[in-house]
Amino acid sequence: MNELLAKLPPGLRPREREVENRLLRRIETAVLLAAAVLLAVVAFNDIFWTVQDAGVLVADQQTWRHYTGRDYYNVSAGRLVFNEPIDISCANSSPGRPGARTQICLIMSGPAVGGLRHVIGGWRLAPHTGDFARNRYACFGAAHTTRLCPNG
Amino acid sequence: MSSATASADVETEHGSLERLGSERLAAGLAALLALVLVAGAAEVVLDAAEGFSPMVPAQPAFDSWLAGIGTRLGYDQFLPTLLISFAAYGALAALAHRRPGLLPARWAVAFVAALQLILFAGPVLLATDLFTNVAYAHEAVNGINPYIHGPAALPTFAGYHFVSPDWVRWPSPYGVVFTLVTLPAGLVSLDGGIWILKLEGLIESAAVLWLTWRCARVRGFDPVLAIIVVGANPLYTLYTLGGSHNDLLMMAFMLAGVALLVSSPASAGREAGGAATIVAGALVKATLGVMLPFLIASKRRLAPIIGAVAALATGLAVGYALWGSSAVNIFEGLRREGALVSSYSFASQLSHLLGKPGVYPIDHTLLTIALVLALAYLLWRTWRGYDWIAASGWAMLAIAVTTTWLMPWYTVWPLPLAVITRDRRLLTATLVIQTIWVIHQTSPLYGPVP
Repeated sequence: MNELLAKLPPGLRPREREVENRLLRRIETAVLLAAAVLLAVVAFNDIFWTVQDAGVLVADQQTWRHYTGRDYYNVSAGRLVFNEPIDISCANSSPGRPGARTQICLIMSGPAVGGLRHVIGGWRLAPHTGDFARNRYACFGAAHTTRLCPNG
Repeated sequence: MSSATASADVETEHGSLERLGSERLAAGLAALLALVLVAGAAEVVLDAAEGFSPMVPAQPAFDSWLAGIGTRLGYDQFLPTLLISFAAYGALAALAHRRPGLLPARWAVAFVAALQLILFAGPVLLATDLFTNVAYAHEAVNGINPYIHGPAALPTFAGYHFVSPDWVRWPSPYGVVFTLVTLPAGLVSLDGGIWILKLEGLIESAAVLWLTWRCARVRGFDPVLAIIVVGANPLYTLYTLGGSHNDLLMMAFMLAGVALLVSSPASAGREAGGAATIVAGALVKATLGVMLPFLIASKRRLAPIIGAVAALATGLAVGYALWGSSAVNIFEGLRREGALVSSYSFASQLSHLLGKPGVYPIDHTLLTIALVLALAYLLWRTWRGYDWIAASGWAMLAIAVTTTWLMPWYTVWPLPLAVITRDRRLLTATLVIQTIWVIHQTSPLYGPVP
């Protein structure tokens, strides 16, 4: 095998030991530093993003509890429309495992005022069903106007 | 005696005293940092024994003898402990690096062993993978093919409810060597199976540390520093060993292969055996296969190729005989996991920076291209004489950074290789990535948690 490799042009031949190349090492180090800075920036940005998002989601959960008068622990909350402050929050209408009872879902928008957001609509879901348009019923408010409830 | 000689003697004595004082101070500081790490691990284990929390998956009370001592492990307990432990680890590693010989070998071994034993004694931490692996073992023992069916195929298994709902329908993504090694866990009760996999994790960790020590010594590095950097790393102890992840088994094979390949005198038998051992590790987790091109490009002999092919053929033949063709497709697990996105991944974080809600298929493609380019560059460097072990470490780090399914224990892969290579940039880069990852984990400390 080594005889075959020896026939390669000098620039392509394998080497037993690398030849020190300070310029290459500097370039590699600069690329690594740039990558580290980029990763640090994305991580710190994500921390701010997550903290901000978490504050809104907690307000969503509080709003659901306040609006429905049910002080349940397992209340889901998430963004309904990306890049717009419109969220959806769902939980059981009576005590039980998450999703095991009829669900009440509320659409919320706007900033949190006093820890609560503005409810602009909502719907119900049958037990053990996912939050898909076909499963939604008893819709009200923005759920109708935004065509989130094709079955009413 | 002249006055000049007397003055020189006084100065020498003064210098010696200063050195002695400084060495004692450094040794005291090292002991304090080690104590912080041991206390941190003990606190996490005792608090985790109090039961379910975001850091402690629901699990049977197999270690109830630890309950009643700590408090429930919430974010407020775990994340500051993680931060402090990681800072103490960094300081201890820096101290050991700056002052070789400061830490006696026995002391270092006892310290690292204590950390491993503390984590072994406690509950399963930070992931449900161990329960999924016990479920796969029970499937295999009960005649259900774990490469076709997920744990949902065995709902009567006592540990079924401890498997994450995300994985109950997923067949095993791991190789045939891992399935064989974990089979004993399927022959006993759930608690017995958990203890078997925890014990296997402990043994694998001990193998990783022993082989790291051995490779460091053979290659002319400080073995004490090497085992402290690997064995005291909080992402290694709390996450990898705490969850008894099969990455430990993969790393044990990886280092056993490296140990054979760096032993002298080099021989065709050792090269074939080393390559075969690395392939055995790739039959635990296919990721390890990334080392082979670097090994082959570096050695440029037939022996490692023959060893790798023979081991692969043997492993796949055994897999085919036991579980059919589904056990032979070793890249299927990688393909499936590669399509997933974890919030831990840098890809996910980058997408948020770019104003996107998450990672799109085009991002997967771009990341794969970036990884392939990085691997091609490393391969070229290896061909031209760069250390193949360092290149393998860089490749593993590149995989961890570009995957959309990053788990904290993936960042541990390059660590044992980084401490046995001359290119110290690999160790620095690995620790920088881990530091960024740890800091990113702390976001629940700065705001409410939904």
